[in-house]
Amino acid sequence: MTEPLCTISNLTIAFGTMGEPVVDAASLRIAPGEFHAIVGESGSGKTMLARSILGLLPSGGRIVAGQVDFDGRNITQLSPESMRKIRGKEIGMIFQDPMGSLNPALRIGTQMSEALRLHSGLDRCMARDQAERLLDQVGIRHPRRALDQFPHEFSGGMRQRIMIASTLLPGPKLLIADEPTTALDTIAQANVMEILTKVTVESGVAVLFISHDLGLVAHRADTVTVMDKARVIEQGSYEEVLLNPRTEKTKALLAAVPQGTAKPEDSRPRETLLEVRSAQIEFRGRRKLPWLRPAITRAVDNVSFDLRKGETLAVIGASGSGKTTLGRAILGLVPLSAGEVRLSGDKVSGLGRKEFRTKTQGIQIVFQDPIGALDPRMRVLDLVAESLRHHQNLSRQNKRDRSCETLEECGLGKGLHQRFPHQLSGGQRQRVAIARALVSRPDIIVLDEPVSALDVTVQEQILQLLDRLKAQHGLSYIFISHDIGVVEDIADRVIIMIDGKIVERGSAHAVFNSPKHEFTRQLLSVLPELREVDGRFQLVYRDHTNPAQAKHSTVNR
Amino acid sequence: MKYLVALRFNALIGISLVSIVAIAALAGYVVPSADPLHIDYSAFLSPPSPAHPFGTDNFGRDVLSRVLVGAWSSLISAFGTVVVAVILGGTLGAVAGFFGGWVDRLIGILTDTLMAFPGLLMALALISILGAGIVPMIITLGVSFSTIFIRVVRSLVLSLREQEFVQASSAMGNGEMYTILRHILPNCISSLLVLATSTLAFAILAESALSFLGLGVQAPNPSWGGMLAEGRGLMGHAPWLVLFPGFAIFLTLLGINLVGDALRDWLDPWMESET
Repeated sequence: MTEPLCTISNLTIAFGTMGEPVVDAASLRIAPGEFHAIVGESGSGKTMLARSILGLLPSGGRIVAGQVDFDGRNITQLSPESMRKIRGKEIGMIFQDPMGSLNPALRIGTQMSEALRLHSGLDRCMARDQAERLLDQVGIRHPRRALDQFPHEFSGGMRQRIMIASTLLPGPKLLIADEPTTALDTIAQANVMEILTKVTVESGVAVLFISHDLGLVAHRADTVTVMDKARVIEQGSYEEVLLNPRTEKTKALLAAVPQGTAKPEDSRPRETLLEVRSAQIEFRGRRKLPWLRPAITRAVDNVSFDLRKGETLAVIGASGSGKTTLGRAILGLVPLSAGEVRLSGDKVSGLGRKEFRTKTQGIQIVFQDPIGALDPRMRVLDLVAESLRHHQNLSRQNKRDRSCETLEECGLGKGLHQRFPHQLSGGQRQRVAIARALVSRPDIIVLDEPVSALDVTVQEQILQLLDRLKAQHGLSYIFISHDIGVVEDIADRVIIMIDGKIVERGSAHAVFNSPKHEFTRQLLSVLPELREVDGRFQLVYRDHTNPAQAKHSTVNR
Repeated sequence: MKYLVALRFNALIGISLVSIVAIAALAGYVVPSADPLHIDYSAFLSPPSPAHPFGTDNFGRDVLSRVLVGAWSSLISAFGTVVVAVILGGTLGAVAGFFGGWVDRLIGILTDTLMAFPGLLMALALISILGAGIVPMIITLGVSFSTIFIRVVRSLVLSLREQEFVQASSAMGNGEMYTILRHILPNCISSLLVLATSTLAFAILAESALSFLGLGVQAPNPSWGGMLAEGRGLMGHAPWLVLFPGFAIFLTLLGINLVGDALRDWLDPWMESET
């Protein structure tokens, strides 16, 4: 066995003097060039464990016991001065949010070469050449031109590639990646993962990859460490952990990976609830000069669809495809430039605000970000009861009772009703948001990426809740998502959008099994999927490159 | 836990300071003591003594009773100024931030114009229209202090307006006024409280400047600012002339700031313990 690059032994990290440890006696070793994945839910301590290697614990966090060895040195004993020399140069780190980690005021070339010149004393020209070479490696199309561009000129996925390039530039031996793809949509996510794997293999860098999504990392990792409640509960090679999971938690994480069973077609005739006819939404840009025409962006372009009673319509698209704008237009939050929306046959678009809302009480919305969508200064029960403000026939007490009932139906017990949103977990917050939409007994709920901000295991629970509520109340959903894997199990019909246009539509069964548009095939092909074959788990990718035979192919590692 | 105890302690000090000042101000009227306007040339500039615990000024007037009576005019004008500034600035700022467009531009131009004038110049202009006295002074100072509230509230509202909970409110069919009052303003409170307490300090000082110019509290009547201004020239001979009103201002501001902080924390949902 080769000498490990980094060893963490019995590491315990705690906050304050007598707080519960956030990392409890964790050990792991990373060999040079190894791809090591730490998987766990948020709050399981995985980020703290990784940060301790860099000596970057948040204030108040302390290493109580154990040590971290990197390349023959005990990092926990090093002075801040020598720690700074290791950071960046020997250990690089990629953060979750590519927008926040690149300085928006500096050109790409400047920030990349800055780090390099600091560590290796290269002159400006040579540093730029190196930066260009690396940008090329991570698949930036015009690397020379990119050096003179600013971060905002790139998409999220491209920015994350630039981050990878600049982290690799000083030639580190270990790269720590903390959920680097969580903020990206599925296709960008797959591309970034591929680049990361390729580049690190090429340059022989070891990777410590932190994620809540086992499906994302499993087949790329040499070693998988599963963490739960501050402890390492499982550790071993990819085959050991995936094929033979020993703990319930690992099984739960595995189960959260989409199983890929599109619903069979339902041909029963149903009444049409909502009709959208040639909807068009335009945004007017700023006039550059008073006599020039302002630039017009068409966010939604000639979109028509129906929503039938009791069905789930999935609207899938990459970020910027206009799917969110479409959802808000249905609620009248964004005006239509052309076309119309009909609710049970009545035209509702173009009405005045008041009239619009009285006619569309039957449509509610759940937003993506449950933190932002709940007023931080209101308690849970008040948040839900507010939704009943316009129901004048109910007394105050009735409203409270009904809110209570709905909250409990959404899995939030009495003990949580007087809390503030920040005192709840992400999943609980989303349950509050769902209860708020549900309490006024709507027919249609627009779900705008309702699970994208959540951990995979929590995603699963919320999806189950949505499914149960739909059956109990006969709801219809418009489910907006960038992640085709999430909607596969629950969608009846699917719409795929690119640049504001619908490029593919059909029953879930048809779209998932024989996609017609190139983009849909691409979306499906990056979807990792765990299948249980003869009692063993196998991670497979769907191969839709040949639509005639939509078979599954096992991944070659 | 420790933090909470410290918090209560600070709040307690603040509340006691503010009540001491309030009681003292009341006492100045209720308890018959030396007439603050009584001129006694036989005892001018006498240092603190049992007869005059805070000494006397250059007209032989009792400093203690002047400080007590001056509390009224100082506190009323300072609080009045802040109330006018918060109401005016808060409303205009919220309207500008929430509705945007030409309303925002119009209010922006007004604010810029107000800010471009030196405060005192504007005060002079307004008072020459309204006449001298406490009420015109409160209006004048309130208007000129409101600019900063307009700016702060506008920028807070601009960022809050984009939050999803505000959109969720309109998705529920709530009207604009309701959304502003129920969701946006409560989330501005903590910043507004901090700003209001620090503005209070400036208002007391601004009152003294205007009174010094003879535009605020009229000459023989005492106010803390006015007393500071009068005593300034004699500070070397009779330090008690500035010491006592200065100390009164200091204690009042300390108390108000502590109460303001406590109020802000008390209203802050994040301060509620986790379980």
